[in-house]
Amino acid sequence: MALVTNGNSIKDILDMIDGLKEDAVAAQEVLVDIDLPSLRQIASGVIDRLGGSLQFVFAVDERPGSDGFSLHHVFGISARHCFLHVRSEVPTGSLEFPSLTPILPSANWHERKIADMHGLIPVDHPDPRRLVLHEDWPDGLSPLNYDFDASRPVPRVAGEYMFQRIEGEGIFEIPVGPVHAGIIEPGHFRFSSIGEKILYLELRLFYKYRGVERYLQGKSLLGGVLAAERISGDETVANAVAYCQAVERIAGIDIPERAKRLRAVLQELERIHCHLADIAGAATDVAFSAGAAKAAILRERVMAINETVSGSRFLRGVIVHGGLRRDIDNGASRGLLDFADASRNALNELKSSIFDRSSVLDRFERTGALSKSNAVDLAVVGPVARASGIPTDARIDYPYGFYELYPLEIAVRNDGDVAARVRIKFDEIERSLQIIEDALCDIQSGDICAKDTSLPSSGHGLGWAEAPRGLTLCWVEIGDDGRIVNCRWRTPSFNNWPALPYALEGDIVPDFPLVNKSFNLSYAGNDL
Amino acid sequence: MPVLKYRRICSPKPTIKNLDTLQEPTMAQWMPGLIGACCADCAHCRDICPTGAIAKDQSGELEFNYGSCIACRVCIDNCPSKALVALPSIYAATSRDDLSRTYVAGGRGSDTAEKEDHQPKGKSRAIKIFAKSMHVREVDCGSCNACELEIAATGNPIYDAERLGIHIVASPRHADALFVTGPVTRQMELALRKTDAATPTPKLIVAVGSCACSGGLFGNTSVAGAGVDQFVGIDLYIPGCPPSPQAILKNIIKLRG
Repeated sequence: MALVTNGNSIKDILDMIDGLKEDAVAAQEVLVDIDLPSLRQIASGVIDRLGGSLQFVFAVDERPGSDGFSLHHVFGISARHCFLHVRSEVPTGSLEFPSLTPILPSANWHERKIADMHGLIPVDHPDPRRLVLHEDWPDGLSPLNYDFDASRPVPRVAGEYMFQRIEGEGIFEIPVGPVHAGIIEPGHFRFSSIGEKILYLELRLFYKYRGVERYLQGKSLLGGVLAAERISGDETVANAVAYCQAVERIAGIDIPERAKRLRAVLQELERIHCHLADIAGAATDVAFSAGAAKAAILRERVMAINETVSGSRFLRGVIVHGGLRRDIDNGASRGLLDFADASRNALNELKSSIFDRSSVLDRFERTGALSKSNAVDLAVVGPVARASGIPTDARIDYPYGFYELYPLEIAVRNDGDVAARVRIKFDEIERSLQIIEDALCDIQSGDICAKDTSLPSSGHGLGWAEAPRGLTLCWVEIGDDGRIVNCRWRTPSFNNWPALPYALEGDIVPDFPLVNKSFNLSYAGNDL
Repeated sequence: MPVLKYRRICSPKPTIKNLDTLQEPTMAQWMPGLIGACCADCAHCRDICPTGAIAKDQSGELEFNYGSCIACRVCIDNCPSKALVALPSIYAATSRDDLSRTYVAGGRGSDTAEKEDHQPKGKSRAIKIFAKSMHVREVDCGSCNACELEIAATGNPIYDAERLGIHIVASPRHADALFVTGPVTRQMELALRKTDAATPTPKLIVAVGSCACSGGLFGNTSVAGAGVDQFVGIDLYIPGCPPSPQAILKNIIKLRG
């Protein structure tokens, strides 16, 4: 459970965190209630003095039971292995809250999403345009407010998105999407270019906005698992684990050791197939078909293994709050170990076939370089952050499950370019194979699900996991009837998308698909 | 000049043999069916199904709507009398009604053969011309991206859809067929309609995945539709969450004859 306290100055919070160092590590979520006017001061204090990063901002409509909206800022404090959850109330009758974007660029999309979802106004936000809801959505309808009827159609109104205009002699605008040339998800990209050189890229996403967070309201806990599995196909396990850990933390459930180990195996299998799809895509985008084919064959092997161990190629229907829904039997475990052993050679062969080729390196190196300072400012997570020199990984920063006691060494590189990101993915696949072997080699038979998964009472809490793309976070609130009252999601793609235009500075338009692929961002996970 | 003879290859076999020695390709979607022990008619599966895919019709028969089923296996895991089993079969159909199957509730489930008739009625001649070459444009209208990954996997060296003449193209203007996924979100509706309008006739429109067939888990709200056929005409429904590459290819081949 979270530690709860009141504090209205950064000094209080620092004192509290210093004083509770040991407990804070155990709790991993420190909840602080503050007054809204001191938000900026506290946020800058947390960033400057605790080395935190703003990971997640969301609002909750507390009406009609209470007065107004509550605002939640979640800072990751990796040095202390905990999340600082800062909660404030938006005063009754007011819809305004101070924007953190002028001091913390990573708050940008979070605050615009809150504005769309709840009708709240981030004061002093430099970019007050819509984000999630497109311009044909009528004003005054806020899909996450209690008075919005999600079953009725919403009329379309006239409206046009105002793109940032770059003007001058010889400057062209290139519109791309939402329906793209390859088999990828929908999103619109607007390049302003001079010749081939990209001057500015504007992203317009959220074509896939399906109302996942609204859907989750009032669902059963099991319904929440099924929805979490379907937020983003290649993050099925990570999102399910994040959600289940939130529920388990609320209910105080300790899952059996076997379930912890098998969950780690499933997460690493997912990381391997996600990264391999990515490597295949990067090879395709530099017209290196032989490498792409090798990676695709290896990935297909992983998908077949997934089906053997779980009955689903995407490992769906295995994870549940309390542990697992189905066991991985000894035969499948042996198959997994054989696979891990046999894959190393294939992986090394693939790696050398890609990185020994000058035509590939010519495209990979110094392309799409994301600077460390930009990555820090935008709170970038996952392999993208690790390729830009930020040693962040939820499995180490905020350890959970099997990783609590596992001596994991993460791969970090400093170049920040496509080559660094692809190399990081190879390194991570190797480590994932090792984790699978270590988790399975001395696994004991036993229960796979906690016996008592009943909830003691209502409550709320954060859950997280290291998805293939980085830290995925969810916040769950459970009511007295044991059903979900509210659930909020922040998948890694939501943090990483805004960094993509910065990585493209100085690159040419034909490099965009490659850079985009090396970021490997989920549209579905971002749009929700 | 030698005369070249063409022989049509109709069954998708892995071009690289013995690749998956660990496992035979099952074409599984792992959807539930009432085969095995006696159904106690307890209604538990109907209550627990997240998409309402299991219902009871007026004559007391248990109706499984595979277009809505998301293959979560919650009903199978929770069936008190263990009457539900996962069926490794493919139920694609050319109309949404044909995606449903009925079983006599309270009795032993029937083990009837799946509906084999995939031949569409009116459009059959138009579809036959794609039998040897079919250019496909994929349109994602709000899937979770698993369907995209499986459609993309049909082109990998294992399934190799190109050897069956199935080729992914970059523009709807070059396409003979559209593969549509997702429940059709409010914000993708216009793009779908424009893509459909830009595709020359005759064309084949395939709904891939349970979201596209029925709206799936997140469909049928103010921001997401209840399946692609609300917006454009569908020639083939391939349910699954997601349908495997084998399922996609097998059903496409069946349809175009």
